[in-house]
Amino acid sequence: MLTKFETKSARVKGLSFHPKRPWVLSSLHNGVIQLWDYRMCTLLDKFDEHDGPVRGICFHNQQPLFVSGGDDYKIKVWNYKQRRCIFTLLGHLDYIRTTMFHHEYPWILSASDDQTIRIWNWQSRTCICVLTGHNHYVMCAQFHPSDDIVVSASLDQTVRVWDISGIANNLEGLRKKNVAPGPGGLDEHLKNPGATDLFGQADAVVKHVLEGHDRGVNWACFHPTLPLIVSGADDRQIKLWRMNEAKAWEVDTCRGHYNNVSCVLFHPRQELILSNSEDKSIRVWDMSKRTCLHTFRREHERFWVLAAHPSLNLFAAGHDSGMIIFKLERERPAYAVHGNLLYYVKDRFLRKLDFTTSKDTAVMQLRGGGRTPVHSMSYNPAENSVLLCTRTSNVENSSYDLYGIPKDSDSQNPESPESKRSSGVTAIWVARNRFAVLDRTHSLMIKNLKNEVTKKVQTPNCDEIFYAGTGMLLLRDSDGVTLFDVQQKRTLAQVKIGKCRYVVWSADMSHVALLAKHTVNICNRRLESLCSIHENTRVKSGAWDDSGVFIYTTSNHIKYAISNGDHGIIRTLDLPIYITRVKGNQVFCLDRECKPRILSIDPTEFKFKLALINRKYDEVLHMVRNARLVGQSIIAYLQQKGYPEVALHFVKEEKTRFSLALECGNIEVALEAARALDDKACWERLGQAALMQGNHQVVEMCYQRTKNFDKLSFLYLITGNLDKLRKMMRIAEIRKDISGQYQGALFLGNVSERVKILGNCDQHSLSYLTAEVHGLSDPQSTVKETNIPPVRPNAKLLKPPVPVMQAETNWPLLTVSKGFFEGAAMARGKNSAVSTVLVPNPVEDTTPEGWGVDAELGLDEDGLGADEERELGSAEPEGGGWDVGDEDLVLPPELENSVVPGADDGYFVPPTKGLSQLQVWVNNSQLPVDHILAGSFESAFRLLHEQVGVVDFRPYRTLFLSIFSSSRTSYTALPSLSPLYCYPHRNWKDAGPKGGKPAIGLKLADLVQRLQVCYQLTTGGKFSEAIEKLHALVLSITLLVVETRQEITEAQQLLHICKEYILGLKMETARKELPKATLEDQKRLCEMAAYFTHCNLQPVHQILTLRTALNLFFKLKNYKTAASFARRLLEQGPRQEVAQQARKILQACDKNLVDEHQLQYDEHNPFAICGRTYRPIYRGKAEEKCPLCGASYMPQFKGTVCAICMVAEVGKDTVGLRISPLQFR
Amino acid sequence: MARQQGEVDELFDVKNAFYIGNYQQCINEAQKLKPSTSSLQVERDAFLYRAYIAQRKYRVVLDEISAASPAELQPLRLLAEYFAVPSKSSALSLQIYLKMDRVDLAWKELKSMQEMDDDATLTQLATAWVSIMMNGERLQDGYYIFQEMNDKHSSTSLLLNGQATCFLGQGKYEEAESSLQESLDKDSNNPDTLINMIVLSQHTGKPPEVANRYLSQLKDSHLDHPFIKEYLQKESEFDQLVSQYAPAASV
Repeated sequence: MLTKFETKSARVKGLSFHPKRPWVLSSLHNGVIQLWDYRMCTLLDKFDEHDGPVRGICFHNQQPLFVSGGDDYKIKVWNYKQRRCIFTLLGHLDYIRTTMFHHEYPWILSASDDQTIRIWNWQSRTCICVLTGHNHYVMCAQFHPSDDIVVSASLDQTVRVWDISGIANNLEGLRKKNVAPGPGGLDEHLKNPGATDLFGQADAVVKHVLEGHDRGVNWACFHPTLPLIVSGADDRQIKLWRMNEAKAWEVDTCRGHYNNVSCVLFHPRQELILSNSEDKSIRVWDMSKRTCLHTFRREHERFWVLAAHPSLNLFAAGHDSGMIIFKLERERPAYAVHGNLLYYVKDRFLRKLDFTTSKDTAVMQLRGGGRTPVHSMSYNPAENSVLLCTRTSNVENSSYDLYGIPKDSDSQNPESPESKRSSGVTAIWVARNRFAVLDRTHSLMIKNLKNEVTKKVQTPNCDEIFYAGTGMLLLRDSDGVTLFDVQQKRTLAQVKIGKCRYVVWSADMSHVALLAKHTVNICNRRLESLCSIHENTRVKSGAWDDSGVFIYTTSNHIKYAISNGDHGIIRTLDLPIYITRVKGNQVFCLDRECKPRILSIDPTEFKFKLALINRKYDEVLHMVRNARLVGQSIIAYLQQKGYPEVALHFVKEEKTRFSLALECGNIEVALEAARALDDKACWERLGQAALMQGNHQVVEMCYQRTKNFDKLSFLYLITGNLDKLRKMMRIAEIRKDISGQYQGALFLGNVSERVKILGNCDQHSLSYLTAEVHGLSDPQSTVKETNIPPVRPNAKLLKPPVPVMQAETNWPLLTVSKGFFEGAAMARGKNSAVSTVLVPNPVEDTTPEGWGVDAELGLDEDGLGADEERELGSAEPEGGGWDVGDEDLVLPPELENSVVPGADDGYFVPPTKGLSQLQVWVNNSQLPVDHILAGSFESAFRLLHEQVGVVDFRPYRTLFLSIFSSSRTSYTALPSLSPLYCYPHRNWKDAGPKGGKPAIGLKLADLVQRLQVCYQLTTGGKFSEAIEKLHALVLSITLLVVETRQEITEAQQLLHICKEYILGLKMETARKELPKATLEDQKRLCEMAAYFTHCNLQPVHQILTLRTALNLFFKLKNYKTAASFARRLLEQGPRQEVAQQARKILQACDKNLVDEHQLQYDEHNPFAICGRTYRPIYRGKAEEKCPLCGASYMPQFKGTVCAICMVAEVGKDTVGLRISPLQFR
Repeated sequence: MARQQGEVDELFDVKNAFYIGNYQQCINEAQKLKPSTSSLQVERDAFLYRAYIAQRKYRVVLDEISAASPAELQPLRLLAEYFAVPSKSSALSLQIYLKMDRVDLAWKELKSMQEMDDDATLTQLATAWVSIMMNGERLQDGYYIFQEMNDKHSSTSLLLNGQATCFLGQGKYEEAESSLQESLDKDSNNPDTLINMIVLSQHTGKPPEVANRYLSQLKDSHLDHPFIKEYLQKESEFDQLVSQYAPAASV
């Protein structure tokens, strides 16, 4: 049993779940009805109008109503929205035991100690039927969830089933006549009270009387779907009854309670019966076997009532001092995420969900039919294996299964592979081929894939283990989590957190979220706690999003946490979900039915905060401008977190704007705001802030606005502004502020003014003295007094220093690049001043530290030296045993191994060399390229010679060497030794030790691509470059490896195309170099141009050759042939202009269809072109061919190197191009 | 903690850094460490000097190990002397077996290593070496081992090249590229990386200049590398073979 919520109150006699909201009503023995939110764990409301115990309580399934019945004989119907009782039904003559709403009709069913059951219409507020027959208190009466029958239990030891179809039919008839059903029905009825009475008292008849209990029956209820009834009685028994239309009979009895059974009900979805009793226990029974499965006991409280939630797996039980909300089993699905894949257990299957494609398949069936739910899962991608941990109520009996997931499984009917099962509380992968098992004694074992123990590891105390990356584990004890290195057996770090339940690592394993019941603690890899968040409801699950924000769920919210401790709500949830992954604004999760779901969230708020923290202000500004983010909370947040300059951006209200501007030292904005406000206090504050920054112009303005003359004078003094200071003196005079005036005179060093002031205010002696001292002895201005002592002879004149220069501009400030927001904020203002205000950064004086480090280091070394000496000294006596004590010698294990046989046998025979992969390649293939890759150039030469008659290998040089250089990959094994080579196979999957063939870099598709480049070069007229590339292409084709006949043909075609192009381009290049002086030369030129048109080129190139030939022949006045070129040109469908031109020429030629000169060119007689002489070899004439490229030659060139491919011998008898193993079969 | 101390290998970090090829880290760790016993101290020094040797800083070793140094360190002086003057080659048995294409013997050797301590870093690495040589499905095992080391410790060129070798063996060129690129960023002159880059560029259809660039770089920095030696030898072999063929007639 998992207790979700508990309350303390007076004895609970009645309970009812709200069908939709997380609410439960409990009616108490003291007359109070409580409305609780069991998810938020709060008391929502109290209804206290009944006098004495309230036993009956029931929510309406649609209306905001509930009904209660009490020992005051009253049935009260309440509206919880209006928080009041809306009416009371009177009629019962004794205590009311239960009150129930009908799921559909506007009815209330009540059972009473007056031995009657009554049906009331709560719309008309009348009793429509009284069911009599029981001859003792009726303890309980319930409607059937679908049929028109009622079951009741009574202390007369019977359970009765009543047929109420008569009344129901009346109601149906009535409805059809005048009342629309639904919410409006109530008003309708209020207008027509007593409408039901039209039909008089309808009858309900007893259908079955179930006798069998030996004492009074306390509770009876229907099965939701089957024709079954369960009852509980004071004879301590629970009886199961079956009924049909004709009769009802007892099926079986559940014995076990040892006191009165107070309540009993069917589990709404499982084959279970729940009961509770005055023996202080709740029991769960198997419905089919009628055995007790679980007993949950309490110390002191007798149980009185039970209720089941209509749709969730929740139950409530009321006892002497409160109630408990509980569920029978965990609903958290077991799941594991790897990359884009989610593995989870649903029913008895392990399923796989691909997040990217949303493809959800069952991959295997679990052992034992999934009867005991899987508690947790650990997935190993390397071995494609899972560990499934099953936990029973007794933790000691927990076990785990190790499954290899079948490779390809039919989702409809997945395989059911064998598993390796052992006992253990938790099993988690710690490496590719190792997993850790925490057994029931809480000791840790490392096991291999065969489920054999390889190592037992001593750990600090722990009662649960979690994944922590390769070779690491998180160990949990009651008050903390420890990061433990399994290999080194060493504790690496610890963090305090009360009973951590789940652990979620970020994708890069740099952060971890530790989830406890009510806390989320985010730590870094070294388990340094970055922040801890407390939740009021339960923390359920979480996942890291790509930006490093932790998204988690509680019972009722999706929330976010940033590692600096900021957190907040993203959205609310109706039901708990388990987050599996977060991607962008999508949250992937599993619900309690194990159904994968995708929820979308609005990430704006945490993205905003994250951008702030990372100081990505452009992003922040973008969000400020485009998102609906504004609000008091965000301003408060910004201010609190020390981003007043950002907050400034949000605020339009001047007062806030002013204080924010001051906070971030932005005088310009503050000034603007102060002007708008024009408030004395503001000016004062601004003046102070401006003074701090030496912005005396603003200070002056502030002092002027606040009429602070003293400060203003002093400001003028220190800025050396004597003119204004003089003015201030005059103002003081006008204001009759003598003290101010005198001070001004003093500041100005204006002695006569001082003398005058002193004189004016009757300080004659002082006036005289001042004058005397300063040597002003104007008798008019002074009054000689007899008793004035003489002026001291050594008196010094006190004169204020003359200002060196008047400070007109503000204090210079460091030029600092303006913060993003200061700029943005000022841009809002009009043409504000440019200077930016920032306190210069103090330059850190690091020297002392640096010295300190050095000094310390010196000391350290000294200490080390001493240590060494001491240790060496102590090692001395052991020196004798050194020769034998080779266990101290640090040698890699394999070296020791190799030494061992030597020691045993006395001498060492080196093993013979094995078959190298290079040799394997040579053995397995007759293809030249394979031999090149194997480094066997000699045989490669021979093969090329035999297959395509290559005799000049020089052009192959770079090709050979570059192919050879790509045959091996290299990796370093032991340090400092020459590397090992690996030989990639093209058939690596099934090569085996001796079947390998080398992987080929050259692909037919790449060559085809390269041909396109040659085409472009040709089009561009870059013939020499094109020839070079085509030639390389020809050589490459001979070193291809292809798999299909189709590809062989394609390669041969490619070779043919290359030959045609090389031939044509070479001929054209040669033609251009020929002399043009004589007619013979001209004729030869025309001939070659004509031959060129017979090379098999792409239409676009063919057009070009035809145009050349056409022009040349036309110029030569061979109009007949020119006309034929023109026709051929038009057949190729050239561009519009070209076609027009060709037509014109054709027209001209057709007028005079003769050839002026005789040329060696017969267009109607098919011919090949000799690759060396560029003369036609007409069909049927003797010719020799190149065995490689197939170029034709006149017979005299037999035995020479082909001029086209430049490697093969013309006329050599060979087997032909071999580029596929198919050609050897 | 004190209870565990007996089982903890004080030199763990030193050894580990050494085996995975993070020599500077090894030297740093060794210099930080204050061993609890004198034998451990000697062992630490041994690793320290081996790391220096691996970094080709032979002078340090030759200067520091004198005739007066502990006998255990003397072989290292010899080793440094031997490396300082590059000449003949020697290797450890497993690696030798692999070099001799005797995967069967290497496998046996590996089995005995695994029996001693399957989880030791060196055993794991050796498993990877043998896996690579065994090819086929085993390449994936090799990859996982290197990946595990990368995850657990820090990534090094040695590990990344091991990984890349596995990828290339499986024809996974994209993955290989990212490993090699990372390795190149760590050490742009690592000969293994350069060799593997040559292979990669050819298999991904890059223009021949790319491979040639790596080859030139390799020639530049590691002219005595076996790969280059072999390459040069093949060049002359080719030239010699060319002369054995000639057309029957000339123009």
